Amino acid sequence: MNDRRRINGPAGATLAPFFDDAAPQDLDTRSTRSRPPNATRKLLLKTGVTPSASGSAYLEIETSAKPGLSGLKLSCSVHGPRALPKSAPFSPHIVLSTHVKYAPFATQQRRGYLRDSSERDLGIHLETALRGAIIADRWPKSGVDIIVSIIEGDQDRETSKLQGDEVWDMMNTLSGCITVAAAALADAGIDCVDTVAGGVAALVQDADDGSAPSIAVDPIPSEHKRILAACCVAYLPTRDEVTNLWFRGDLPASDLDLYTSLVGHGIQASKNANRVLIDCLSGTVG
Amino acid sequence: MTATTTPEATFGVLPRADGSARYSHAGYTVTGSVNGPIEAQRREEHAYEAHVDVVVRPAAGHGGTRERHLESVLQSSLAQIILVKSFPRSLIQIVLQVENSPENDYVNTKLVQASLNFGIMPALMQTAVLALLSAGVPMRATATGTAVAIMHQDGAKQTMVDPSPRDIEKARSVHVLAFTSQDELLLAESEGDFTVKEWDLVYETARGICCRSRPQAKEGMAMLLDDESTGGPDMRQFLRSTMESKVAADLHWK
Amino acid sequence: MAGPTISLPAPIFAKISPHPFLVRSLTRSTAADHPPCRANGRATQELRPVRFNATSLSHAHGSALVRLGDTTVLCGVRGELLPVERIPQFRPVDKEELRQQGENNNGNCGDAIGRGELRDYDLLVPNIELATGSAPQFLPGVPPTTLAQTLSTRVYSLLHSTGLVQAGDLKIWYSPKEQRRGEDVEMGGTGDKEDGDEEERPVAYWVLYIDLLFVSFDGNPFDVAWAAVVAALRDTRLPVARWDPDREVVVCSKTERRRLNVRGLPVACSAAVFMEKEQSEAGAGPREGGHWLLLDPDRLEETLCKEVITMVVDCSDDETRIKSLEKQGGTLLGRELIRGYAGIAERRWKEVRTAME
Repeated sequence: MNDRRRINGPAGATLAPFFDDAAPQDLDTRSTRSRPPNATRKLLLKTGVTPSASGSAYLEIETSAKPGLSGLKLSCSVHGPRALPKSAPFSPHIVLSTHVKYAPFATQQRRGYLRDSSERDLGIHLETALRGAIIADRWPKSGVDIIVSIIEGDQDRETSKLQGDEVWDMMNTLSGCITVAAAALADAGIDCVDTVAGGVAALVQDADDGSAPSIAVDPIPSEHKRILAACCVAYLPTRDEVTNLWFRGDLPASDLDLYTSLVGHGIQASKNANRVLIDCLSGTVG
Repeated sequence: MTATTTPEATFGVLPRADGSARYSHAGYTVTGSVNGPIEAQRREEHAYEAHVDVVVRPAAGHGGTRERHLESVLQSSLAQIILVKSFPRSLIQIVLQVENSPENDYVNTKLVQASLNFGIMPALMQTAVLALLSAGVPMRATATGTAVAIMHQDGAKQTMVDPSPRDIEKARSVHVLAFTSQDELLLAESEGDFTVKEWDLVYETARGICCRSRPQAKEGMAMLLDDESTGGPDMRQFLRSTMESKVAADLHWK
Repeated sequence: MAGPTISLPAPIFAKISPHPFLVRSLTRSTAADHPPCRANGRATQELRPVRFNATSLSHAHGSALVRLGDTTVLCGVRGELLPVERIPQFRPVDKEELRQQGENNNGNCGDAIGRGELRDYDLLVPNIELATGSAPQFLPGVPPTTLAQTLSTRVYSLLHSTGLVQAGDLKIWYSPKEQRRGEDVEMGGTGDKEDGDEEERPVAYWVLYIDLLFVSFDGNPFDVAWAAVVAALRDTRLPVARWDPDREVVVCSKTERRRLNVRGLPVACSAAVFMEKEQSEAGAGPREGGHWLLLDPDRLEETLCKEVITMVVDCSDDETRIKSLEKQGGTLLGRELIRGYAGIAERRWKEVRTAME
């Protein structure tokens, strides 16, 4: 169990700090969404943060107004294309390997150094999203490594544990990963058919009175009473193609329109992200 | 665990290895084996020189990050004195098994990680050199090392050779120095709180222990040596006499 | 006579034949007013400027982002609680012993004991992650390399030997008397029957997880990592914690935070020795060819140098105190050079202090 290649700390397990819940002003922490339902949060994207890599990018999603609510901070580096090791079997196209890793201090609970299942999951989603964008047969027998480090997860410090909504956080994280990886790929000069970007849309219920749920773009779980369903899309705008779609939640199977409109809103969010991506990249080139 | 025990060494303790030695001093006992030059693994193969691989195994449990650190320090030092250029594309493997260390016998010490790498370093170094000599690996020079601590007692500074773990805990600063047989400073690791002046003092003390029996310098340094004769064992003389008795034993049949 | 001359662009020359490339840039005869410089354009004794960026990681108690040229490190410090029941072989420090120690050390109260506590209970847990794609040789999915492990150990060891953090700051006390007195006032002074002889006692310790993430790697990892650790610890604010005897847990205040008391400002300064000959031939006594001491080596230089030196100094007081010295891998740096190196480290200390403040 003990990792002999790291410094492990005390033998008895340590506890995360347990906070006094007496402070009364904190009881009503649920902030309400200040943005209109079809607006995404502000993105900050920068390329070239890791000069030793072939390409790299850094993405930050603006923190919402309330302090204590953290924004997403991602750093991505791309290594390659480079020759595959001799032991690898022949491949007629480029082999993508994606790694997504939370920093130990990225989330409320301290993360270990070994990749867990949610990190693997994110890695697989990211790979499919990017595979559709890269012109893979341009580099036979080569590989490229795409590594995303989540410096800070998109997670509310206090409330998220109560709701158990890690999954929704993961969707936001994934959409950020897709966008930042696309920027890093472009920075590395790897040919893509288009710039791919991620977007999230969710079906949320804000009131208890049984009113009809509404669709919100780029949702922050703590700003909504309940999230019924959400989807994360990776979208190529000029080709009008979706490379990866991750859908989760409860929706009546009969209401097909709801599905399409949720995906439609996801695409809308992705287009917003794409605009920032294009701005950032053309700024670098120009 | 008195600090002034004389060092002891035995050669050829492991019959199957190319060379081996057991060394004990100041409460530490280390057995080392050397194999080489042997075929190197692909990823360790170097086109122009031999790869020196050092493995340190603690007295109990598995090696941790502390052992990796010791290994990397020893590796870089030993690669300097071994004639690595003479054996391209090969591997010289040195395994050092700690058998006994005074750290074991007191409370609350964890075996796997501790910040004190210091006490054991000279013993490891010495064992590795002895084992290399036993294996007949060509070397540019031999090396000798020692540990010195600076203690503050009753307002007075005091240097102490081969400090015990207890002393290290109390010491202001602890130093490990190793010299080659050509009196060059091979390794210097210090920790604690000291000044350049204090380090100079430590350097003198360590040099006195590691580089004493230099024949041509003997006359000139006699005075100095007399002053420092309390400073601890003479490591180079020890290395030489151990080697001499081994050669004598090997050539006994003549 | 002369064969066809091939001219290569510098990056390719550097890649296929790094050693001659660096020798060439160091020996290139230039105008007198233009001293030869390294391949990266710096003079041999020139250090890259260090920059500290304020970061605000909301899930960490303290953080820092440090850049040294193209090497970037992010450090996050997070405190977690270790109740004393979970410590095997817990041995509360005797008050009497503490006082004695204090007298012996002329005011340095309980220094050695505090250090002992930090080490025995393992309250500081630094770890360095290089495998973030920070350089082509550090790809994720593999266990920490020897370099990462060595760096972690060096940081760990230095944290303990410098006494940067004191055990007293990490200890959470429970003093029944004081707390009861407070309650008494609230409840209108009802019975102090159970005012037993319970003494003030430690109930838990903070364990500081110090995680270092290399965002970008271009040589000299230790200096940057250490600077990040110091900066992050100076930034650390732990919540004020107290023992709740009814629930038998340690509860932390949401609003109140206390700054960690970081003692001193040790700064690391590293250099590498670059030899003109790739290594002198077997048996050659005195080494031929020149050598250069390259301060703050970058990634290319580090791969070409064997002998390295790191000195950690603290000039916070009037006198320069050396906190650590590590020299290995060669025989060129002798006594004089090391003595002179202290001056270089002092200079670095001043630069880093200015950058940090």
